[in-house]
Amino acid sequence: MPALSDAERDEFRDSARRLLADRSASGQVRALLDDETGFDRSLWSSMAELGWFAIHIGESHGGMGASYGDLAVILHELGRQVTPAPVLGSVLVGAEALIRSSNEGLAAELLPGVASGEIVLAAALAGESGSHAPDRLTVSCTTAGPTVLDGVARFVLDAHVADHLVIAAANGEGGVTLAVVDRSAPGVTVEVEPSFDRTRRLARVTLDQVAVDDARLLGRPGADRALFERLVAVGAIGAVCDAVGAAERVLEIANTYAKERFQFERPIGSFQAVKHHLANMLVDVESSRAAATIAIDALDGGDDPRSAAAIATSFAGPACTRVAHTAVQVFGGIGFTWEHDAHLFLKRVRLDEALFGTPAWHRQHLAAELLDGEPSV
Amino acid sequence: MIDELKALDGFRDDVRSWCEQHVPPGWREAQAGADHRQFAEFHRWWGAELRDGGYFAPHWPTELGGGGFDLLQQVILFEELARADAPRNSLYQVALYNAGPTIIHAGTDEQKAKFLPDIVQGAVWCQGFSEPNAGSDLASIETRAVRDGDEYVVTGQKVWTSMALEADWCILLVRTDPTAPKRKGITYLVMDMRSQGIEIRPIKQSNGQSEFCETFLDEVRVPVAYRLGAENDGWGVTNSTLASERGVVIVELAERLRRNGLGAFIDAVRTWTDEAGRPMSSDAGVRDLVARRHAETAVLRQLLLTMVTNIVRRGGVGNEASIVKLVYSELLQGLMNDATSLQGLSGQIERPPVMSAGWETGDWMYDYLNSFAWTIGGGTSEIMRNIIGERALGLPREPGVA
Ligand SMILES: Cc1cc2nc3c(=O)[nH]c(=O)nc-3n(C[C@H](O)[C@H](O)[C@H](O)COP(=O)(O)OP(=O)(O)OC[C@H]3O[C@@H](n4cnc5c(N)ncnc54)[C@H](O)[C@@H]3O)c2cc1C
Repeated sequence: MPALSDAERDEFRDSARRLLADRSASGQVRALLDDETGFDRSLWSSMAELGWFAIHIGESHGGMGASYGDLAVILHELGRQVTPAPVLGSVLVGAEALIRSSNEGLAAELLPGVASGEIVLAAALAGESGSHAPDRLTVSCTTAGPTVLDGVARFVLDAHVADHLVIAAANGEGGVTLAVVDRSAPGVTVEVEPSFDRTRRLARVTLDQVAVDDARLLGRPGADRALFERLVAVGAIGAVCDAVGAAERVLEIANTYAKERFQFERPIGSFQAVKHHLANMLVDVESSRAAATIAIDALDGGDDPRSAAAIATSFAGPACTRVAHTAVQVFGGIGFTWEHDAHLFLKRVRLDEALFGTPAWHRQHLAAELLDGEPSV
Repeated sequence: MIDELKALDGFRDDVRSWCEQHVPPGWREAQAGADHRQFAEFHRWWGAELRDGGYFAPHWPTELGGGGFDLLQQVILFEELARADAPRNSLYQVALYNAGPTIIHAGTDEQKAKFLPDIVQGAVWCQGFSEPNAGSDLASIETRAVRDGDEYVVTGQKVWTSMALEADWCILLVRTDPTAPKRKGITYLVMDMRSQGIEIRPIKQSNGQSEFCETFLDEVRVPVAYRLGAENDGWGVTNSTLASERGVVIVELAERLRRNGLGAFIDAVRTWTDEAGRPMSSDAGVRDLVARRHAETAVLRQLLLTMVTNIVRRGGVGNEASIVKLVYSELLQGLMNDATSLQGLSGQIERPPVMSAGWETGDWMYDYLNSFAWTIGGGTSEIMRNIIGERALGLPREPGVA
C-alpha cells in the first residue's frame, strides 16, 4: 500500500486536529455524553468528506489505498479530543474483517459504504465475561443445516449506531465462525449498557437463533480463528493509538495547569514532586507512542500483528492509564470534579486499556511465545 | 526507518562477517576475574582489532581517522557487535564519546590536530568533573586553577574519576573565577595525566571493583593552550559533552540489554525452578514479569529508532536523549533486580566477574549492583526527571537551583 509521505501525513494530521478542535471541543463532547446515541452524524459526515474512513481501504473498494499508519493518525487525533465516533469499531476493526475476508462479494458490497461513511460496522468479539478467548465466546454457531447464530456478545463497541455487526461465534473445539448480521435483522437485539466512558458506548448483542446466509459468512464456519485473532489484535492496536492521543493531550493540559496554578507563591510545576509526575507522564507518553509505532509498523509491514499488538497493549495500556491517572492528581480537587475534563480522559484510556483484552492477557500470549516454544537463541 | 535500515543490508553483512572472524570465542571465560592490568591489556588489543576493522571510531569522519559511518550505519554496527556478543569497547568511552566530540565541537584547529589522532590511536581519557561537594550540582566545583603565564596551576580534588589509573588524558573542570556566579567562573581544560602533582587513589566499589578513583591535584600545571573554549566559559562546553554522552551510546547499550540482558533472562527463567521444584516458566507471576520486560525492551528499542530517525531527519539530539537515558537506566536496573530476586539464594554466591562484558556479565546480582552506575552516574534519575520537566515540558526551575 502506498503510504502518505511524511509531509502529507503532517498535513493530514493538522487538518484533522483543526476539524476536531472546532467540532469536537469539550462542550460538544459533553453535549453528547447525555445524548441517547451519543453520535454526531453531522461531524461523521464531515469526517467522511475529508476521506478519513477511506484511508487504508483499497482503491478497488472505494478507498485511498494508503497505510494503517495513516489511519493511525486519525485514531490518535480522535483520542486527543476524546471524540465520540465509531471509527475504531467500524473503520478499523469492522473493515479489517472484510479486507481480510475470503468472501470477496461481501467485501465488495460493504467496504465502499464503510469508506464513504454511509455504512457503520461494529464488531462483536467478546463473550459475556468480556473475554476474547475463542473458547469463551458466548455466541454459538451451529451448522447442521443452515448456519445459525445464537447467544450473547457483550462490550460491543458502538453497536447501537451500526448498520451491520461482525459477529464472532464459537464453533466446535476452539473454532470460530465470523459472520455479518444486520443490526435490524429479526432475532437481533442491541442494548446499550451503562459504561463509565460515555464517549463510546458498549452494547450487549443478543442473537436469538439468527440464521445466516452463506453469502454473509466471512470465511468458512469454524475456520475463522486466525482472522478472529487478527481482529482482536488490530482492535487492540487501534485502542492503543486512541489512548496515546488521549494521554498526550491530557499531559498537555496538566502541564499548562502546572505552570499557571500557584500555591505557596510558586507555580506548582516548580515543585519537584509535581515536576517528576509530569516528567514520568512524558516518558510514558513517548514510550507508548513507540509501542504504538511497533504495532502499526507490524501491520503495515504485513507481519502477523499479534505479538506486536501484545507488546503495544501490555505496555501502552497501563502507561496511558498512568498518565491520565497522574493528571487527575496534578489537578488536585478540580480534577475530581465532573466539570473538569480530566475524568473524560481517564475513562477513555481505562476503556482503551481493557477493550480488546487486558494487558495481563496480552502478556500471557507474549510469555507463551517467549517461554513455551523452542528457545529462540 | 525499517526500510532505511534494510537498505543497508550489505553493510550489515560486512560487519557480521567481520565479527565472525574477529570476536574471540571464549573471551568471557578468559576475562572472568581479570585484574586491572589484564583488563587494560585486553582492551588495548580489542581496540586495535576494532581500529583495523575501521570500527573503532565509527561516528567520526574518515579524515579524522574515524569510520565515517552515518547514524544508521552506527545503529547496525552496534546491533551486530551486540549480536556477536563482542567485548564492550569501554576503556575508550570517555575518549570517543565525551572528550572527542567536545574537542571537535569546541577545540581550535591546533587542538584537534593534537588530540584527535591520538584518540583514534587508542589514547585513554578520563573525566574529571565530579568533586566531593559537586555531584548533581556540578556547577559548584571548587578545584581552583590560577593563571601563571601560559599555564594554569590547578589544585583541588576530583572524585569518581572512572579509569583514572589507565588514562593518558583528562577532561577537567576547574574554577577560574571564584567571585563570579557559579556557572560563570568555570573553565574546561585538558590535563595530561602524567603531569607532576597528580595523585590517584582507587576507590573500591560496591561490586568489588575499583574502576573509579579519587584524583588529587596539587599545583598541576596545564598549558593554557589545552583550554577548550574561552576562560570562564567551561559550563557551556560541558553541556555539549553531556549531551553527546547521552546520545548514540545508548543504542549500543540497549541492543546489548536486549540480547544479553533480556535474552539471558528468558533463557535463565526457562531453566530455573522455584523452591517447590516446579519450573519457574509455569508460574503466572513470572510469566507476566517476563512479558512485561520483553515489551519494555521492545519499547526502548523503538524509542531509540525514533530518536535516531529524528536526528537524521531534523538534525541534532533533542530532549529524547534524557528520556532514553532514564528509560534505559530504569529498565536495566529493573531487569537485573527481577532476575536477582527470582534466582534466590543461588544468586547470592559470588563468582569472579566477567570484565568487559558491560552491564550484562551474566551474573545477576553483580549486574544489579552495577546498574546503579546508570541510575546515579551521568546525571541521576532524579536529575533526569528535572531535565525532562524543565527542558521538554518547559516547567519552571526550582527556586534556588540557578
Ligand atoms: C559508576 C560511576 C562512574 C562515574 N564516573 C564518573 C567520571 O568518570 N567522572 C566524573 O566526573 N564523575 C563520575 N561519576 C559521578 C557522577 O556523575 C555523580 O555520582 C552524579 O552526578 C551524582 O552526584 P553525587 O554522587 O554527588 O550525588 P548527589 O548529587 O549528592 O545526589 C545524592 C542524591 O540526591 C539526589 N539529588 C541531588 N540533587 C537533586 C535535585 N536537585 N533534585 C532531586 N534529587 C537530587 C540525587 O538524585 C541522589 O539521589 C560517576 C558515578 C558513578 C556512579
